[in-house]
Amino acid sequence: MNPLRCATLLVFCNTVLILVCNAEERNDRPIIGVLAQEYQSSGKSYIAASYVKFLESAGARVVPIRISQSEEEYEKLFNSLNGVLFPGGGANLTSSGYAKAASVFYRLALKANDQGDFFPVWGTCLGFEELTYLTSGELILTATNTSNVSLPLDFMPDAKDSRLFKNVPEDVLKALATEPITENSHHWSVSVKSFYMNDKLRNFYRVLTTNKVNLEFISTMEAYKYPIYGTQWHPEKNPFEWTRPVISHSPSAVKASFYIADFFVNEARKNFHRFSSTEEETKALIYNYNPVFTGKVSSFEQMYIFVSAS
Amino acid sequence: MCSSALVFSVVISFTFVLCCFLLPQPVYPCIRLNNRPIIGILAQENQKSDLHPQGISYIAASYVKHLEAAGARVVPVRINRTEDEYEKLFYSINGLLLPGGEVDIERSQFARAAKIFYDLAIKANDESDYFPIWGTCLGFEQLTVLTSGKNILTVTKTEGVALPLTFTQAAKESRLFKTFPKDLLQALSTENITANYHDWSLSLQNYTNNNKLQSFYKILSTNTDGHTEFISTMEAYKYPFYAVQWHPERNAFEWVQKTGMAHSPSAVKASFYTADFFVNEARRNFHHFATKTEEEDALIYNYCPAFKGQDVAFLQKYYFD
Repeated sequence: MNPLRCATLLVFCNTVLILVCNAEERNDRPIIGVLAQEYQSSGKSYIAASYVKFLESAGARVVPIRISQSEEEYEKLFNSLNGVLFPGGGANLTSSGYAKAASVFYRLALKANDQGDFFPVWGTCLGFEELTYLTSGELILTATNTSNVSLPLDFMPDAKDSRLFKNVPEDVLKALATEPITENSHHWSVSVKSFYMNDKLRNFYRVLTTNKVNLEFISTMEAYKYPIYGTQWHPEKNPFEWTRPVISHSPSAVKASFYIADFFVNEARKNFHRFSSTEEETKALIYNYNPVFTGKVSSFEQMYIFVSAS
Repeated sequence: MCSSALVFSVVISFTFVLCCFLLPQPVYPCIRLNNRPIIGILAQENQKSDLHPQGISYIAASYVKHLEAAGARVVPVRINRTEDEYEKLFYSINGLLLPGGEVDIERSQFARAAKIFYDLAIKANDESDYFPIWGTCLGFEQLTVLTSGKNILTVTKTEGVALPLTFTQAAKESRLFKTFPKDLLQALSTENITANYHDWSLSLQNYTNNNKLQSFYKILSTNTDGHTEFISTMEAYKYPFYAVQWHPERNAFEWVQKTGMAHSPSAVKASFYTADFFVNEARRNFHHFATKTEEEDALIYNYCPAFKGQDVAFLQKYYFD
């Protein structure tokens, strides 16, 4: 082949590649999995609807990830989803169905990211604690009196340049730093002391915010080298949960919630996994389930309750 | 007595100044806010194309999600209720949303209920009881009929097209748009992120020729189908009434794959900020249900939407009898 033809062919191929890559730059139909967990000792499992609404409000669709599935089923689901969220709750961090599923998705996420397949993970409260367990292999929680308090965040000096916070508007960051917006309903925390004494955690996560109740604990973190994020507080409660007076519903609180969800959904937009067919996708979505109105008897307004493992 | 009144007045003024300048400034400094707003969404008669209705009226779930995302709770406003029932509900909720749809904006039960609420809202606002109304698409058109007393819509080719907004001079200082971030206003005016699904519009010409509409509403944006320039966003001059001919709620919450849909990050932000604006308007109203039980019984949480599939306009619908 003569050099001119070769060069022309190369230019043509590169142009096509550039066009295709730009077209694939962003997945505007992200689907995020939310992990279910055991519902007390009923044999059932649940997802609080606020986590679903949180992600939907930022333009994602949601798929429930049921507990007690096989690793193969989880792997197939992983390759269909664009992100996963580990919600808050009370499940056991090492032995529950929630913990086992989280462990599978965490491992698959690390492997995918290592292979250039960007896959984000978010952990809220229990989910945050689960991430610290999965990364370090240890439970290093300390009891704190933080089961019913809303707090402003104490930002680390460079936190506002973090991936999580850098695109959040100034007024929202200011509100997060000065108003008691972030809802804490946890009996355990990762203390700053324990965090920095643990090599694995210290090298894996960057601390973005802390809080001090009894002792100083980590409230927000992001992994250095992976799209993995965790908050000990509950960004999903401000717009969607109304049963407990401690939850702030101010305009700033609602806006902060949106921007946190928006950040994570935008991370999921960088993943291009798809269900193998539209039928499979439609079958998996949370729209197939209806939440129960539990606001009169529970701290959750609505809960999706799953009666069997599959 | 005069000097006591003077002292009282000075103390109040001093406290007001102290309040405004020394305390941390939230979004609405010194305006008391109802941070538990409940907004009614009006149901309407079923679509003719709905072959499997589970009631005689419906509300598309995307409208519910749109308001919940901005920190409101939702109550469905049923059709076929008495004026007394509507009045009682009016004084329990903090705002009303008139959604899109297909019903007759002069003869349907939707139109009848809309008129009752509209008249109550005019009266309330006139008495300084701040009560906001939002109209989307059909809701926008309904407001034009309620304000002008007649239907002066014209046919436009605007079914299934996503457009940028052409802002008027008045737009950026309007109550609605001045709360929007600059980059979002930029996106709204340059990207195809406002979803249009309507066969009728209020043309600029008809608006201009109608005294009632022209003196009641300020145009914030227009669009064109290539032939007719029509109003796409408006707000009332003297009432907290707002209307869009496009669908902000679809960007985040409806996923049917057809032309005119927009799901980019800016499109989703536009969805949030329109809801956020309207819910903040509802925060200025202090109506409430007579009891907690009445409130709980009215909320949309008591209802389950039906999943209609991904290949229809409304993913989920709440049906009512």
